[in-house]
Amino acid sequence: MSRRQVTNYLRPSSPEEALTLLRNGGNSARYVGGGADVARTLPGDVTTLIDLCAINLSSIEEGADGIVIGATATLNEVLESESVARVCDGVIVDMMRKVGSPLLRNIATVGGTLASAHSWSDVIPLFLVLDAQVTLYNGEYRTLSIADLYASRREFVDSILTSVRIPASAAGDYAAFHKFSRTGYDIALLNCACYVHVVDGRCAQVRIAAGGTPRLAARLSQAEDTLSQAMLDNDTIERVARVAQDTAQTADDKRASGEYRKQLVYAGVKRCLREIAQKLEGGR
Amino acid sequence: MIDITLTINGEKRRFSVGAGETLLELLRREGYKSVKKGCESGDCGACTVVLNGRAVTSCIVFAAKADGGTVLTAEGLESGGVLHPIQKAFLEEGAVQCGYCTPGMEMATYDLLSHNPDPSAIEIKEALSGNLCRCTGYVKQVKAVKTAAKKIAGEAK
Amino acid sequence: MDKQKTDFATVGKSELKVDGRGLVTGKPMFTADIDLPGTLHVKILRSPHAHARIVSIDTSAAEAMPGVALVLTHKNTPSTRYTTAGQGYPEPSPYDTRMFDTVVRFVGDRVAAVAADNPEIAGAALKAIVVTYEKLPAVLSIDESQAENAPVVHDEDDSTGIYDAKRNIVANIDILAGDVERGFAESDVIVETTCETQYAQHTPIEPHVVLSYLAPDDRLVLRTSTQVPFHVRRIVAYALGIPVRQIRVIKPRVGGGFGTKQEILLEGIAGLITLRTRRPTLIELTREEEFVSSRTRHPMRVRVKLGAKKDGMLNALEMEGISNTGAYGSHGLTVLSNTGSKTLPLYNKAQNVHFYGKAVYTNLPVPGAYRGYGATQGYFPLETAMDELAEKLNIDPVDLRRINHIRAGETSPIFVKLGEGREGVEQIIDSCELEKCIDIAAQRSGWAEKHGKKTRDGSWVHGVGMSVHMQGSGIPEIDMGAATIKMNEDGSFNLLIGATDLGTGSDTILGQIAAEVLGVPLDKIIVYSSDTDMTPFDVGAYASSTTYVSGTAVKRAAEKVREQIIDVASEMLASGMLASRMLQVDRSRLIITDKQVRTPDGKSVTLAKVCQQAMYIKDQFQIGATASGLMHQSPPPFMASFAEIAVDTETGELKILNYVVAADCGTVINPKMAEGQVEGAIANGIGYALTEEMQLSPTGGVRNPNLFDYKILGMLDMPPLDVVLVDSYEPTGPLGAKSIAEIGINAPIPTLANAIYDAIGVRLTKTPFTPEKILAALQAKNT
Repeated sequence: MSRRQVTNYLRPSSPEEALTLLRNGGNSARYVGGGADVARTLPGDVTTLIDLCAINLSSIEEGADGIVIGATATLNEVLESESVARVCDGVIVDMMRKVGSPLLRNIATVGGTLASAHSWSDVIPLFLVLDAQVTLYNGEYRTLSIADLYASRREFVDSILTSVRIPASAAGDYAAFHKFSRTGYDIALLNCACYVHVVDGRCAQVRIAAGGTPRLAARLSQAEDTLSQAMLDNDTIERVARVAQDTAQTADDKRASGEYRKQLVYAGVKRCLREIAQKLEGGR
Repeated sequence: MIDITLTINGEKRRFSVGAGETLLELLRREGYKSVKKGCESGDCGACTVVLNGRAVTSCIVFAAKADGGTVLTAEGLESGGVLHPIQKAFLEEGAVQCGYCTPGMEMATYDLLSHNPDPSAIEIKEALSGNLCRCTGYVKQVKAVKTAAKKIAGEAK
Repeated sequence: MDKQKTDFATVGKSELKVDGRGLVTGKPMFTADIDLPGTLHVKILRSPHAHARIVSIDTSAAEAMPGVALVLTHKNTPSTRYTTAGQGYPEPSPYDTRMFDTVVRFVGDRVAAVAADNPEIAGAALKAIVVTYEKLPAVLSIDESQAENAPVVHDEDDSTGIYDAKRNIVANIDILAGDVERGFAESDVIVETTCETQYAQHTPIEPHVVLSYLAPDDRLVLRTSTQVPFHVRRIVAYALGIPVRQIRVIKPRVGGGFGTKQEILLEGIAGLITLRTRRPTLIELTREEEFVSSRTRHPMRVRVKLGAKKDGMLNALEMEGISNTGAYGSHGLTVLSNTGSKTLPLYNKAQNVHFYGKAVYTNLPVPGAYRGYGATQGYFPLETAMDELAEKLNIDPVDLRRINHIRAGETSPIFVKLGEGREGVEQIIDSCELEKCIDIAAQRSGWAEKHGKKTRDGSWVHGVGMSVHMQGSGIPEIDMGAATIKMNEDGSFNLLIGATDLGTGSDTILGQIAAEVLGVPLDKIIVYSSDTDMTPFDVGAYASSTTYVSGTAVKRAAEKVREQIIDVASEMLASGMLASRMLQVDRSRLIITDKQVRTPDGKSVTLAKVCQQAMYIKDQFQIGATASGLMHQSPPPFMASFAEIAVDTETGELKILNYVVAADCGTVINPKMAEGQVEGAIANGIGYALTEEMQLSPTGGVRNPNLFDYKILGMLDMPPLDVVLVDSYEPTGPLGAKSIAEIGINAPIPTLANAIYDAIGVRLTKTPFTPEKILAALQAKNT
């Protein structure tokens, strides 16, 4: 693959500088995190790459209101972080282990993953249900939820994603992630993520998402409503999974049919909720 | 062109690289032929090197990004004509057939064993999951990584 | 006299690969690992259409670009029609290919090539070539190809060797033994099944690559990643119209082949560019080009009908195959032949056998040789039908195989009737340990306890499946390989072989055979292979031939050298040079062992001294010999394959819990390498069975030309695999050996298909068995 069209590789040392460089570069400039995605599929008109990794944005810090993951932390750094492992009993670690291979995870960054926003992303559905918040810089810093980030792709325009915050897990927080793929080293044919906050055995808060449908991950609100305030027994799980199956917006692509993906939504939601139910059982 | 410095297999070197040049392209043109080209899209793992201590597919890393970093390739594992325990293990366990994926597998193994000196079978499979091999069926490679771990532990004693 | 197996010193040991040290240290051993100054880089313009005539092609802008050295099209290249199939001469494939043609016949067919100072310039120049196409109607499936008034893929009048070009039929086969009509009429039970296999690719991790350059004497050197260096030399010489003596082909290390490098795709183009420009020329296929333009397995639709008596004895066997050979007929006839010839003799109890079929052109990617070579496609319906028959007869599938499979001392009428693209050779099976293979694999897989139990674990249901297989060892009376051995004065030997090690380890095992016969350790054998200037002829690495055919050549050459050594040694031992008094030496009682020639009474002379005597001291001559291996049989290896799986009834996901194979390959020359052949073949076969598929667009293009979406097995996907090589000895083979390379790839499809049936009662007849297909079949059954 020829990448000889690229004539500038810039390594700014601050968000301010990075933003200025991007503004100067116009349409021919692209931000690079780990660069894996850009190297794989370089758009034909890009001649300037702006590498954000020289900005000190790779720390992973645990604070009172959660874990703040710098945008240029690699996926493997997230996977290996002890504080990340504490989120909902290691659900982020479980998910990360299934993303690509270690060779990719040592390159790809959290910021790059969120910015690329591949429809098959495993990170996005889980971050959606964990209600992660992202911070962007466009001269000023602003924070918004992952859901709002993807409500329109405009948020990324003229902005740098600097960090993502995962809320700290509280007692009663449970989450699970499930991925279906053709082989062990593959993108998702479909993935599911579920989060519940359990109070007195009932699901006080529920977030369920499916990705790779083959559109970008989205919440399944009717399934969430079905589970809300319910106990996580087998009948409920079955019912929620069926609602998820019926309401998920799926479609065909070369990897799977929309009809089959609906079946996977059913099985994925069921497996996630079963896993949570088992943890609940074990927690008692 | 951009001037960069890399420490490759312990030797500090300066290079002039294209802005879009990948680490794979740089390493191969500079004579590190153990680094193999199999897909140029990060899918096969034949180009795996250890960059700053971690195994990466060098075909999807920009050379300019690696500026100031350290790179280890399979050429750098052997020292003074003595095979590295990982190389020895791959050879002795029959983990090498055509050998095209072998250097990459060795580098993924190097990363694994430097962070996890006694990996389980599933940890080995996860660590080398991005290194495709069409010849072996992987049976003997999993064994080779275990053997390498034992050899390294034995040397450390 | 052959040594007894128990006496082997190096054969039977897992000697380290002779090229292993270089490979684990990453030495520059592969084609593209050397840099030559002034090398031209080539990019190839490919057809966007499945079928079109090139009305005009304007290369002037490309040629005018700085850094462009040469542009090749049909206008300035030889118009000779040849075959890209690297087979013995005369090749049984049609001469239907031109280097660059005026008609393109599949998406990816070559239109032009640009040679430039670097790949970027070459790529940019490709875009500057202006081609006007007249689109032609295309045939995009077997059925379209055979429809009334179908477009003709090869309507040119200068192609030869096509069975019926007007009807798109490349090859036609029809052989009959006994009377099948009567056989079926007299059968108590009949089953019939039709199975379809998909487009799939070899995906060696090293794509096709060639580096050509002019030697100082102006001869053309082709350093190429090939399985067939001598066929490359002959076919390139023919295609370019230059003498064979003008070409030297060197095969360095090859990064996997599996059949796709039995094809002469790039060497002629590179050679022509070098001859025209006098510059070194490198052509490396990208992974995408590898998918789009190299070779694939022949997709086939194969129907099998079995008739049996109540006791399980097969009475009639019919197999009909239709093979899609894509836009060119490479290996079309022979792959189809093998669909029958490598499967039907397995069940030789059936006296009435009919095999017929055709290979047809389509405007789709071009299949060629692929490990298994048609047998893989044949075993799917054959072993599925055997499973169905067992159920109908209420006989355990294992027992049904036992009743019917061929045994030592037996023959099959198919051996004579059907060879590879022509009549076959009569053969009686000398070694067959299939019964033992079945015993061992059945026992280790827990078949008796697990079959038919449908154990449930939540939504997952367990099942077990099995199948049995044979292959061949080379093509009898066609394949020939030769070996030269010469002795050095330190008692070492150069072994020069035309045989082609493409990662299989053949350099090592051929070295072991030489070492065994010559009584030296393997490190005294310096192996050099596959260089048309330096080594004797060999057909190359295909048809599971190397161990058996080339190994026989090595053994014979080593025996000749041994005789010469003994001649010299007996004179030395007798002359008193080494003994204090004259000895009467009985040369027939001399043996070579441990680097010495020994007499029964303990006198000895080292091999080094023997060679020094011959080289420097008396009646000087070079101790050395050349011998050839041409075999009159093709002894099949045998295999029993068993797997336990679990299928999720909610998603159709399939997990292989355990896979057991037991194989008979005669003497195992190198256990780890032989196991590696089986393990690799099974892994490739599982991929073909479950995940691998080239998806084609409605206009004939490949939709997933990358390893991102064409999924081969990775380390995480490999199930626990238990490989047993059973004790066996093939009397016609070198030191008792026969082949092992291909057979394993035939097993996973039928084994897994039968396991799926055992688990969920659904027979899948189209590969790959994706979860989506499994679930759809399950839902169809339940409604």
